[in-house]
Amino acid sequence: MSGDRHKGRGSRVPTPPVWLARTLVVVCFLALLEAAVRGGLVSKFFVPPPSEFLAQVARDLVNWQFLVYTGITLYETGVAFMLALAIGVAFGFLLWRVKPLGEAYDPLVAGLFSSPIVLLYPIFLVVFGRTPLAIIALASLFGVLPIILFTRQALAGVSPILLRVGASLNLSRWANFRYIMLPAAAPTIFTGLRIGLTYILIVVVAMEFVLQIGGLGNLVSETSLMFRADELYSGVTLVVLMSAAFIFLIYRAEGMVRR
Amino acid sequence: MNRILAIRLGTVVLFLAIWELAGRSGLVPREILPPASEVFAQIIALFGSDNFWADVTASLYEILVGFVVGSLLGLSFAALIATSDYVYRIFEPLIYYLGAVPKIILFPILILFLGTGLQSKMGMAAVTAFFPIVVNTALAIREVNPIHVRAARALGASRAQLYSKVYVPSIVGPVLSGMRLGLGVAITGALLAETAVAQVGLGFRAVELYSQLRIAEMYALILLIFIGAALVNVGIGRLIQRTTHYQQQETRAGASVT
Repeated sequence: MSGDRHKGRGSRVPTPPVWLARTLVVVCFLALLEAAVRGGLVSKFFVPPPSEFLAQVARDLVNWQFLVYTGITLYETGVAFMLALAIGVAFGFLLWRVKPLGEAYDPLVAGLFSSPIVLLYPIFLVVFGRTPLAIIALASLFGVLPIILFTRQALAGVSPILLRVGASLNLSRWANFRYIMLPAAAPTIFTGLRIGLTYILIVVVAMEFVLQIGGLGNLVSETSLMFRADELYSGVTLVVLMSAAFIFLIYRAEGMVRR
Repeated sequence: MNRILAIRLGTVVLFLAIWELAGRSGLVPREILPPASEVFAQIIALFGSDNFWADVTASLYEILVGFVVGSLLGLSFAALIATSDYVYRIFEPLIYYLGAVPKIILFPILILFLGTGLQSKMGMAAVTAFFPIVVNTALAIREVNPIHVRAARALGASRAQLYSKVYVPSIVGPVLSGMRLGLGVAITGALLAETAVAQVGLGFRAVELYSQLRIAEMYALILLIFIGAALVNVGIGRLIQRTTHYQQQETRAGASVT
């Protein structure tokens, strides 16, 4: 992390390790903000001084309410991911197995993936009511798309050389799938799972915010109703921190499963 | 090829048939799923209503202004961080993690600054568009082939020539696909924000129709939003293909990911 491999030119000035510089950038930003607010450049009504809302963040972090919110978000994300995983891998497998079906549907799935799926939410409200179920259903609908795309791509992309190795070893169809196809396709499938999980988390928190039910997203919409800037900024900071932590863990998990 | 077309057409027909039947037979209550024919009749009706066009104008205005602001900020920020390897490595994870946060939670802050009118939705569009544009542009700048740069220098290119003849042509493809992604998420961001707090706009109208239980109209409106977004996406895709026809096309999934 800290080793700077520089191109010699222009790096005559010794530079601190990247992580330290990154921390400094964040600290400087907060310090400047603090100065701007205290100096009256930015109204306290809009931005509370970082020292104040960071204290609030610390208080909220140890609040049991926050843990409950986090738990709800994790639960909804988990259920939606399981659904998306099961359906997505099965459907991706089907699209790979039945070639014409795959060629017909792949662009449709890709098109859906780039469409504003979240905006379907009033329909989900009509069907499921204003419940966590609506959030879970919507999130898994979004998350399933990259899983389908990547599963199909992964299976279709297995090197023909590997397949010929399997054939020359006279493997049974199942053994061929289990020992050749699956290990070869797994890394790409995991990428799809990671992307799916990331999107599910985003949709869950966004929907919680909009519908004002459930976990972390709801935390922000509740604090925003109180018209207290420090509470609001603390809520937003907490959700940003938690999202970043989740994403970090998802990356780590992918790395561990891959090995 | 024909078989594929047949599968697609068959799917659409089957989908519409099941939709229509489920609504008509009373298997699914009409309040939950109005039959397709009713929804399509509402689409025609929407085209004739003044409200609809006012909503379209408001939403398009928000999205466009927001997208332009977000693009300008995104492009300049990317140029700022991508020129130095060291600076890029400082900012990359920050951008990456902030980019994966659901931007809608910033909406209350935007309301605080910009009010509940169109401006806060423009802000939303700008913030959402910013991240994919920064990521794609910064990556593109860093992947400019150094051999091309050295070759141009060796041939005595001036600084201006270096930019116009080497940097811009080699980043234009990825930058445009980043902007396409940015526009896509800006549409989602602005409309989603409208569903939360707004007085006008397509997102606002969808939720309004929902709360008035005008379900068939709501389906029609959401369908139109999807068709509109798809048209924009395809249109820009075509435009990009035209402007970068001399370059190899990027892989399709790679662009819409991360």
